[in-house]
Amino acid sequence: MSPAATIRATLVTHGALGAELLKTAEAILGPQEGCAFVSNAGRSLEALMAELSDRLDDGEPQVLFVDLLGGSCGHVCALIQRRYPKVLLAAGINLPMLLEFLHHRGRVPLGELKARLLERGRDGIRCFGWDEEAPR
Amino acid sequence: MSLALVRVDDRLLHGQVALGWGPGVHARVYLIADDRVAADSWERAAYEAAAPPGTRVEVWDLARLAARWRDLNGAEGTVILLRGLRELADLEKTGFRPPSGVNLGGLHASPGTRELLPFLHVTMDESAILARLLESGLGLYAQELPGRPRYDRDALLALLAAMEGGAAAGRTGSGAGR
Repeated sequence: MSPAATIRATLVTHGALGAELLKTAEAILGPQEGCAFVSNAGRSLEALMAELSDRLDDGEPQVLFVDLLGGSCGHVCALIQRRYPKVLLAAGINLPMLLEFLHHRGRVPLGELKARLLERGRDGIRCFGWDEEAPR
Repeated sequence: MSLALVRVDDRLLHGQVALGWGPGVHARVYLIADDRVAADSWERAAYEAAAPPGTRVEVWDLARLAARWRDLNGAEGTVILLRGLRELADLEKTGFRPPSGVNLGGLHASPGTRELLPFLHVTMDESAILARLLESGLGLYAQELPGRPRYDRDALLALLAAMEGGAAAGRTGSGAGR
């Protein structure tokens, strides 16, 4: 796999989460090309599927970020991989994961990009405090 | 015996079900009763892979549910998920009468539907089916999530009548489409 400068991403989430994550990432990294968001709000599975298919019809590799594995967004993306095997489904999106993807796409091979966003997403989750005496 | 929850929801198993309802009814098994999913190994696998922690997903076709629902033992909290009112009506004809009643939880807007409640949209055919099912003793109630308003038979009949009245006056409900 080779770097692909324009590898696209779609954030498929509940409510306005995808829109806000993307807006926040752009506030940090600047405007981003090839990124979009789709909300499941008020949409049936079929409607969500149709909207995503429109963004995938070029057959190029693309990352679908979803917020919740086991939700309707994750389910639709899992179904869509059957028709679009070049899709990477990345579940449990958080800001570190998205920033890592945006920063490294086009600079590293796709396999490495996948490993990086997974690692950074996980590594961004920490808890501090409550070490000695957890408050009751 | 008791089933934890029987729900009509066109998204079948999703966040509202797994996180909103599941813990409160002590769900251990999510039983998706749907001919389309049962016939599609890929879709089936997608649901099975996404089972919430500590639970499992089973997929049955409707004929199997019609034959076996009485055997589902309450010892393991079972949540039955149906795609729509037609499926429920077919089951009702076979004698399906879960003691928990049946929750109407999510039918999304699509061409030809009108809004009964913000989370329930029905076609003309479906509103006729619903009117019949409300008189059948199935114990139908509409409720999107625990803690949200619950609409029982009389409230739903009133909403149906109001919706039909609105349609007769030339209004078309929310006008939302897929």
